[in-house]
Amino acid sequence: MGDLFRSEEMVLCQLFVQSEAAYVSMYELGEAGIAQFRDLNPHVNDFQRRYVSEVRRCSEMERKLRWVAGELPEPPPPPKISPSNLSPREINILEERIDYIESEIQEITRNARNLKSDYLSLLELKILIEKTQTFFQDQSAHRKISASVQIYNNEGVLGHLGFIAGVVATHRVPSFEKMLWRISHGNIFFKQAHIEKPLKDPVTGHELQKTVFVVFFHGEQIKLRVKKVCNGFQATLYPCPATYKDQQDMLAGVETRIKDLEILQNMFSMDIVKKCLIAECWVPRRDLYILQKALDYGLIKASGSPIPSILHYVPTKEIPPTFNRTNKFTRGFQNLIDSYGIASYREVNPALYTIITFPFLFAVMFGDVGHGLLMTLFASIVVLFEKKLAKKKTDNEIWNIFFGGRYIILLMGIFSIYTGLIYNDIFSKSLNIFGSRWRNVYDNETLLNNKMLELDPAEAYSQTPYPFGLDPVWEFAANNIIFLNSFKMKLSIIFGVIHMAFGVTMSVVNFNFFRRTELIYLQYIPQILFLLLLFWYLCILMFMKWTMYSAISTDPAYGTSCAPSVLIIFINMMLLKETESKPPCRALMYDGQDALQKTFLVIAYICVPIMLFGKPVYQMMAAKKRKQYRQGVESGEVDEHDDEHDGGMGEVLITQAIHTIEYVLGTVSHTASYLRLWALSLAHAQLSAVLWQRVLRIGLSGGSPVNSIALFVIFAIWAFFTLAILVLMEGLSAFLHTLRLHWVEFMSKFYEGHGYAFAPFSFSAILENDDEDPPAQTNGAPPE
Amino acid sequence: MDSDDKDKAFPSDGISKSLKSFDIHTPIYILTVVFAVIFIIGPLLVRKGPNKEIVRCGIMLTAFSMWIFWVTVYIGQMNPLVGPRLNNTTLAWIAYAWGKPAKTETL
Repeated sequence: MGDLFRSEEMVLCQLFVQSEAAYVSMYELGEAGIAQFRDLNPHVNDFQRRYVSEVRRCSEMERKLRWVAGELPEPPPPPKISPSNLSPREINILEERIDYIESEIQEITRNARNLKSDYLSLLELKILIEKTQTFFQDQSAHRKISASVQIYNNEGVLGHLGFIAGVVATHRVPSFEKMLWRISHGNIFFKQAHIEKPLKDPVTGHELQKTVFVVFFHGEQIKLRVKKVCNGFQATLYPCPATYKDQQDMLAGVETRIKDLEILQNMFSMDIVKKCLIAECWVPRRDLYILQKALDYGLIKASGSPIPSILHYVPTKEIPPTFNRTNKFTRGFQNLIDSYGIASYREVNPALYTIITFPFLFAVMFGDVGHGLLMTLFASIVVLFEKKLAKKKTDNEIWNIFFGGRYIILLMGIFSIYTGLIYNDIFSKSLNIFGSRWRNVYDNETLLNNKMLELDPAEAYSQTPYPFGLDPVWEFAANNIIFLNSFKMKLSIIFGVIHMAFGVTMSVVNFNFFRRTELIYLQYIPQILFLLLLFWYLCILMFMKWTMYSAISTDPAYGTSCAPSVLIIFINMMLLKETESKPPCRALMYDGQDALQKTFLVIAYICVPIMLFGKPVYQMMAAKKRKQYRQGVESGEVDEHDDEHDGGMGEVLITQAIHTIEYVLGTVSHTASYLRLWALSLAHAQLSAVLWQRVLRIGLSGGSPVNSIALFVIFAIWAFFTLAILVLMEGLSAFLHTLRLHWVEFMSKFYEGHGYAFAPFSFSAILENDDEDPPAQTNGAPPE
Repeated sequence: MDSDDKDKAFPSDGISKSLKSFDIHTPIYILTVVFAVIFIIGPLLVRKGPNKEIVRCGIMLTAFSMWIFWVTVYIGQMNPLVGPRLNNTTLAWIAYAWGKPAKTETL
């Protein structure tokens, strides 16, 4: 059968490859991405493996490259695809180059940092000089003392006062001042000036607000204390000349030095090749020829090795990985299934059917032509531009999710248009394409005297239904919900039973493939009979009620007042209750109903013990037969066929009991669970109607041109809420519910999901995983 | 009751009541045949390629699900047991826009 019907057949191969040829062959395999290697040295410590030094070298190189990339101001350009692989000699050259560049960059960064801190201190000094000019001018003016200054160790003496000048972080100034005041017992004079422009810290790169300060004091003791406080508050102290002329000179010098600073940068990028040295791998049978080609190519490239590489099939009882070959269209659906659990090896794959049933069940819950159109438009645009959009690698998870699911959204939108046409709902309005089948039968007097009137189907209905979908008259009806509720509930149950029956039938395919035909009789037949005899009979009753009872029936037993509730009939059938007949209504819908229902019930009840004991009894009998055979023939073969051992009979019975109870209760609860199809479509329709009637209708009322401005604004509001609530929120909600229906109600009937994913050795997968953290694909498909 | 006039307000009018059952089921036959053709013939028309089986399966499932949805909605509306409950203004508009207006004493 086709690609997606069940997972591919896998072959375990052993490769015997020369060391020289190994490198090239592994490279080819990495490009092809078809082989999953098994660890043949699981007990060996990572550090004791043979090629650990090579791996270490490669990780070192990677680390250095990552560090270099982090130092760059812009992200590096994407690596170019190398035309050929790298020989070990080329790797040595590469390693040397990387080392050289790394040390260069480290030195440059060190220099840059030094330069930056120099720059910062010079800047602060310059500002300090400018600001303190004002202080000293004041001082000189007031004290009339000539500015002769002796400078030793960053302090100066102005007349009898010594002073210390420096720069401190602004947020520390109040506590700094307070501390100085305290330690000097108030004998200092503190002046400060705030630097408006924030300065960049060279180490952290943050911008800091700084303040220039000058502290005037008298005496050596206070000088020491002030210096200690300055150190504590991390204030940088600067030599500050007191004379104007000296200040100007210093200022000039500082400015020239600032202008002389420059920074240099470098960049490059490259591919890294990882090595693998395990010679046992899982390969899909269809790709074996690629494996052979890779080994041969490696042989050709390696210099003169006389021993050919050998590909050897290993027959094994181990469980191979599960591999589903997907393309860009089917990958989304396969991901939905794999999120629940990877399929067991060669089990039937539900993803094939999910391609259609998932969008269809979504559309039953979403049914609106307008919203479906919006979804289809969005998805088509994304699909049309998918090549361009795929090149942009973003970290935006939400966009990546939407992009990955673009085909799912496209199908959901298309089906939603169809179901919207059937529900006759376009932005909560109905379309009258074929002409409604209901007419007004009341005359003007009746209309004038009654506010609300109900149309009688015997008179107002044309006796043929609207040919495609729901009649448009129901949109205006006040009892719209009553009619639709009963109708949509029945519709949901019908869909549910069909979907579940389909799921149970899938197990037949599995039984057939794995040669367990006895389970078809012991498990499938009782399960399907139980489901169909009870719940498909319920659906048949629904169809019968729809066809047999009508408003224009000549027999009053089949008229509107005698139409029975299908649910009550079903409950009475299960509880074996008799219904009383109230003339002219009949107790039963058709002759022989009682006998037929009792027969169905009995058969369904018989199915339960068959489900419960069939499989365990069969396994017990098969084990006994095998033991007899073994004793008779006295062969020394080890019996490795059965999964359970003798004495595990209790376990088998318990497992089977759990499965049976799960299935039987599941038929009831899962059938009811499908009613969410009704619930969500009702919610969607009501939200849509509310939005129209309460928002857009206000803008449509009134006739003057001024109302057009109001309509413009109101339309914007309506459009926003339509997109945000109805398309996005309801879409997400319906998506989730459909996913649950598939995972729980559909797949629990046949799906095992005990497999593990095929993770081939593939360069594209590794490179992708370096960029993003969670891998987008759980199954390793060969790169396209 | 002017039954002749009333009957002519509907699109399927002019046909006597004895043929009603034929009339009511015709769309079911037509559309079932259409969907059955898509279901059976459609998969045979798929081009050879790697995705042939997937496309076949898709066509069959689509045809079946669309058909079952349509046929359920159609049969559910064949014999309505309740009618819509409408405002008198809506009824007046229906009488004006869709079909022959109701008999009037005044006017």
